[in-house]
Amino acid sequence: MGEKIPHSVIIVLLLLLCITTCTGCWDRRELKDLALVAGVGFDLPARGEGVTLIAQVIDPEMLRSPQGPSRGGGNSVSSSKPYWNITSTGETIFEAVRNCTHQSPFPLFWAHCQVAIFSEQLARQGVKDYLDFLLRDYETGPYIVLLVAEEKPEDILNLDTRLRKIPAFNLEACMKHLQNATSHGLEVTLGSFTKMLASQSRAPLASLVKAVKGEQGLYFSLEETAVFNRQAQMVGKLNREETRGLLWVLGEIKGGIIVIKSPDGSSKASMEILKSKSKVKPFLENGRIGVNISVQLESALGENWAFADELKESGRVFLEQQQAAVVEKEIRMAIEKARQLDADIFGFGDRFYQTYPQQWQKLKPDWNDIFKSLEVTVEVDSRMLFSPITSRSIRNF
Amino acid sequence: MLGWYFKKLRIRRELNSQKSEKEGQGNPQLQPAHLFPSLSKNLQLMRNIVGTSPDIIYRLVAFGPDNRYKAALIFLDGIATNTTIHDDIIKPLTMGSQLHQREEIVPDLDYISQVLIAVGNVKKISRTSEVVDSFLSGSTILFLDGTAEALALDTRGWASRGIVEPQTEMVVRGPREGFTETLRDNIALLRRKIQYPGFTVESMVIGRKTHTQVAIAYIKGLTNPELIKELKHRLQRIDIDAVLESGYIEQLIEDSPLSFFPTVGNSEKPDKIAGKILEGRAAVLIDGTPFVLTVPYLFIEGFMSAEDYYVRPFYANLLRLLRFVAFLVSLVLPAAYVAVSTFHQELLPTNLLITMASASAGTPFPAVLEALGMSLVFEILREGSLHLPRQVGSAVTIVGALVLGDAVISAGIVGAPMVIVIATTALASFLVVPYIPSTTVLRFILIIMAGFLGGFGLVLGLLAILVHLCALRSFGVPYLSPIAPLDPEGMKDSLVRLPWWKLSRRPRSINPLDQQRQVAGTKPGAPK
Repeated sequence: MGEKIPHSVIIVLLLLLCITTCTGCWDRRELKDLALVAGVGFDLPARGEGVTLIAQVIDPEMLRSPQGPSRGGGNSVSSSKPYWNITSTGETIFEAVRNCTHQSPFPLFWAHCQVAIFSEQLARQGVKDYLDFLLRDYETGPYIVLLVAEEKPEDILNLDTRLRKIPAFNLEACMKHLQNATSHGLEVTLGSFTKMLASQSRAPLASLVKAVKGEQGLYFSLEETAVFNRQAQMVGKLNREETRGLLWVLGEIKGGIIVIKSPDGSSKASMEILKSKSKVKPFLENGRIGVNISVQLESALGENWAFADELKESGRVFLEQQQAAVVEKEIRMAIEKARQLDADIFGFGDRFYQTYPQQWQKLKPDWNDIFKSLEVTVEVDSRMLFSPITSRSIRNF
Repeated sequence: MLGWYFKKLRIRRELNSQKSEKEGQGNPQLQPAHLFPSLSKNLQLMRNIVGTSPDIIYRLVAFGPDNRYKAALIFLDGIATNTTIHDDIIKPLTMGSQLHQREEIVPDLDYISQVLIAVGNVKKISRTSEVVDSFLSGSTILFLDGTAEALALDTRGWASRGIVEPQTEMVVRGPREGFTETLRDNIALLRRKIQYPGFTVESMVIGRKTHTQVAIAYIKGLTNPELIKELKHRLQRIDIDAVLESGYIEQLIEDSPLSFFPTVGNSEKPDKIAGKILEGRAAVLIDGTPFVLTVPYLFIEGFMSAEDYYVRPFYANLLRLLRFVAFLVSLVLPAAYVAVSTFHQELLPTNLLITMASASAGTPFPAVLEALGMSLVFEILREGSLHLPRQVGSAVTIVGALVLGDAVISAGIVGAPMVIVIATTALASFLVVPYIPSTTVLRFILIIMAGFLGGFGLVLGLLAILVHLCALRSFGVPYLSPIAPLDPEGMKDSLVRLPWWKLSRRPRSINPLDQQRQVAGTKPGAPK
């Protein structure tokens, strides 16, 4: 006995045991002892200086299915919300974050925070310091969706939601498919916002969320876009058409509907956007300075109230032309608004920087003025794809 | 410090070897080495050696004219076949046809074995030890008065289990026969599969007290002679009093006795063993157990099933890949769950994390304790249901799986995700039967490492296992071959099995003498 056991092995095993047990667990956080933050709202305090923070913390026990066993709970518990909004204040953002723990029994866990909502009031003062904190902290990631709330972020985080029970997640999910379905909004994350800010001239953007009063209570709407200046201060808003105009130029259109009216205005048709590409070419010659925007658009007829005979060449040409006109109108609206706001939301300056790096250095100081007087040509290559499924509109039967 | 240990070790080893030598000398054969020419002396000798247990039958026979010749039969009741002794030995002797009429014939042992008795396997022996050995193995010993020799008549035949389908390796397609506890039957089963003159069985006896027959089976001209030499050397080194199962032999010839992983394979299925022999391995058959050993044993063999070779490759490969996945799952899943849920919550998709959090909210124990506890409960259930009669076994399953599992969740003692994880792990472990012992032990170690150090600990543990596997060898063959070192020929039947017409050569890692398995270019197809 014992003759075959290498004692060196035993010694190594003992040392390994010491290593593992002596260092052990310093970073251990049990899943059930974490307060998962779903979203965060930042606001200015009612009085004085500092930061007010609303952290939306998930209450996992409330998320259980009603059939499932719930501990220590009667009917009163099941009716309450599956989240808990902690409001805390502090002199700095980090302090406000830490002050949350005065109210929460568990440490806040930020790695799954999906949205950060700034109040408009705060956004107009500038959000740079907030970006610094969110980027610097190791638990928050660059994928957090940034939003600006017209009123208080707290109201948005308290809205009743269906299907996704946590308001912050609901917002994030809506943002995700907004761009695909209608292209009326733009998903801006912490990372992409910072990237815009770090570029040569782009004005950062963020979606604007507002609480709208409907018949069945408040609901939120995500149709507008907040425009920031280069100091990350909010300067204005784009409405839904202007937002889509912006997306046409950026080449970020992923879907949506273009409504076309008949010449007499009595009938309508819907074109579904299938695919869109854009090219922005700056030019700088003989003292002329400007950009050529060319947009390629492929769409299909999705609805026809009977005015265009889509089987005939003339009908198709009419639809394509009308569609191109709508796109151009939207782009022009967006450019107009951007000039009003003094904000290069399209990143034209970056195009100049890329194409004419030397000349850009001279242009850069006066870019705001140049942007206002920039010569912009818009060219839309609009195509209708597929032959229609029914040859006539039902109205014509 | 280590040097001191080794010194002490060496001294102890020397002491031990001296002791064992003395024991060997202290047990000399007091009996004479050869038989006496006198019948009564020989019988007395046998009585001295084997005693007079009720199952030892001494039968005196007188035969010849006037019953002038005297002989004695000694056999073991129950091991020697009674009918053979009655009809084929005693009857011909006593009622021998010519012996009674013709007085000039003096029956000696040759005459008896050649003319009188009707037993197939007859050996003439004179050494006492041989006599005792053949007697104990079931032969009937015939002593003739006046002769210093004896006949060992093979009358072995005892109650044995029939050839049935092995419980440990059920197949849907493939032979249903399995080895039995009788060595002779087992060799016959193999011989039936491999009707090739080169198929060789070599026999030896191991076990001072049990005298267990051990046989090595291989194919001459195919199996590497070095392997047979090494195997024989290791078997001959064994000096133990009892061998009751092939596990004894396995643990005495394996390369790394301290490893968690087996380096000697075993199977109950003759077709599987025949397949391994035909790849150039050697089989060790041990009397008294249906489990036949094969060496060398590679890591990859644990993932192969006999059926892999019988069903068509696309499905066989799916199942084989499934076994690899199941092995990883059964090894890593609980540890990974512990690591992720206590250290790396940011790694999980948000929805999954919230579901997990809501299912385990309010449970009192840390995840690592939950994992260890539930694994322990599972092992108790498995061990409990394994050895119980089938009727009671189902009760264990009901109480364990349904009542306990459900109650533990509804009482909020353990979170549902943990029960799911442990159940998945348990199910996955059943897919790779040869490694159930390895994964069970390693799983506990990995859970503890993950509980202390998180993903770092898990990776540390997995790396240690990998390094260990790379260092293992089985009879000179690297354990991880054909993957490491890479053997392109062997790879054709490792992670996946290519169709038979692609497998024209035997895996090189086993070092067979004859590498050609079939003629190349036998891919079937419709006639052109």
